[in-house]
Formats: sequence, structure tokens, C-alpha cells
Amino acid sequence: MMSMNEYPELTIEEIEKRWLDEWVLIEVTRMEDHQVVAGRVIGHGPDQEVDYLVSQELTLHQQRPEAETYLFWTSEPIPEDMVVVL
Amino acid sequence: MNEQVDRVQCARHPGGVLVTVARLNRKVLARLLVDTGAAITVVVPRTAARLGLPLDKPHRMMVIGTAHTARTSPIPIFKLDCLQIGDVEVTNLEVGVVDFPSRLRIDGALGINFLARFRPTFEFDTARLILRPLSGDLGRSLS
Repeated sequence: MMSMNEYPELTIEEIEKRWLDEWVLIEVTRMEDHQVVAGRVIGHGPDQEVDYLVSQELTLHQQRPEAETYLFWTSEPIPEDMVVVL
Repeated sequence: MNEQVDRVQCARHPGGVLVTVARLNRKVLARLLVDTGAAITVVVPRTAARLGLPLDKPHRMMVIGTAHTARTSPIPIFKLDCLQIGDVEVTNLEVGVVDFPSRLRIDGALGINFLARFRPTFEFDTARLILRPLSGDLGRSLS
């Protein structure tokens, strides 16, 4: 298993460019004005792999409870052709 | 009473809805739709799993009705230790677990049981949620 320092630290902008239309799990390393700015990428993948990313996140929290994590979709989370009425 | 006003920068999404990043249980960051039409804050099952919530052992069940269906349904309710937005944190917050459409890739909705602990106002042009404290300070400012 890679040590945490071996995971690349990238900005959110870099992550969104590199893995467009994917789920990305990061350990948050930098926030500014309560916005996530950068993190270490733990994993990424399409919808079908999001459960695996959740299991990776739970494992990370077991190993390091102090870690803050963010699992997010890299493009628009609400499709342009959809209007939300919950 | 703490008179600090918290101005939470949200993201504006199609239809003008506001989405904010919340910190749940001080470890998981999640995108929540700010939803004054939701009586209770909800998360999707994926987010519940991220938090390690045991879906088969809820704190209680609650019957909900939603706008898009004539049916009502019971949903599991859990208590979060804390939910933080901007500089404010609310502790012991009940959240329900509901499914959203799979193409809607947000993690839940921030409902009235959070918002009503403040005097919220919305600046849709700047995508800001303004949270003013109530007397009694039910929320806690972190700064």
C-alpha cells in the first residue's frame, strides 16, 4: 500500500481537468474560505466504482481518524438538462 | 449571544439552486443543496455509508412526503454529532437518508432543522447564504 505521502497533491482545478466526469476521493490538504482548494488523490472512477471509493474512504478514516476527506463528482453535479425539485 | 454573521459562499447550479460544502462529523466533506422546502436535512445512501451510519439501526424512522410523488414513505433517521457550514457548527443534528436520482450527483440537502437554528437569508445573485445567530445561540460559531 502506498504511504499517504506517495499520493499526489493536486488542486481541485487540476483534479477536475485530469479526471473529468468521474468521482474523485481526496484527503483534503488545503481549504480557503471554507472551500476545498487541494488534496491528495486517494482514488477516482466512474459511477460504477463509487462504492469502492467509499470503502477506501472508510479504511482511511479507520487508519487515520483525523483525516478529512471529500468525495466529489468532477463536473456539474446537477446536469444542465435537469431542474431540481425535491 | 454571539452577533457574528456568517456569509457562506455557495455554488450556483442549474435553475439557480445553491449548493454548499458541509463538514459532517468533522471528517467528511459533502455537497448539500440548500433546501428551504425540506423539513429535515437529508443525505443520500452513499454519504451515509461514508459516515459509517448503520442503515439497519437508525435512531428512528420518519414518514416523509415529497413533491414528485403522491406516496409517502418512511426513511431512517440518524443523529450526526455535528454539521458545519462556513464558520458555524450545529451539534446533535438529525438527518434522514433518502435516494436522489442517480444523475444528481450531490450528497444531500440542507434542510430546515439546520437552517432554523439561525436567521437565514439568501443572496442568489452572489450565491451566498447568510446565517445570523438566533438569541439562545443554538448554533455555534467556530471563529
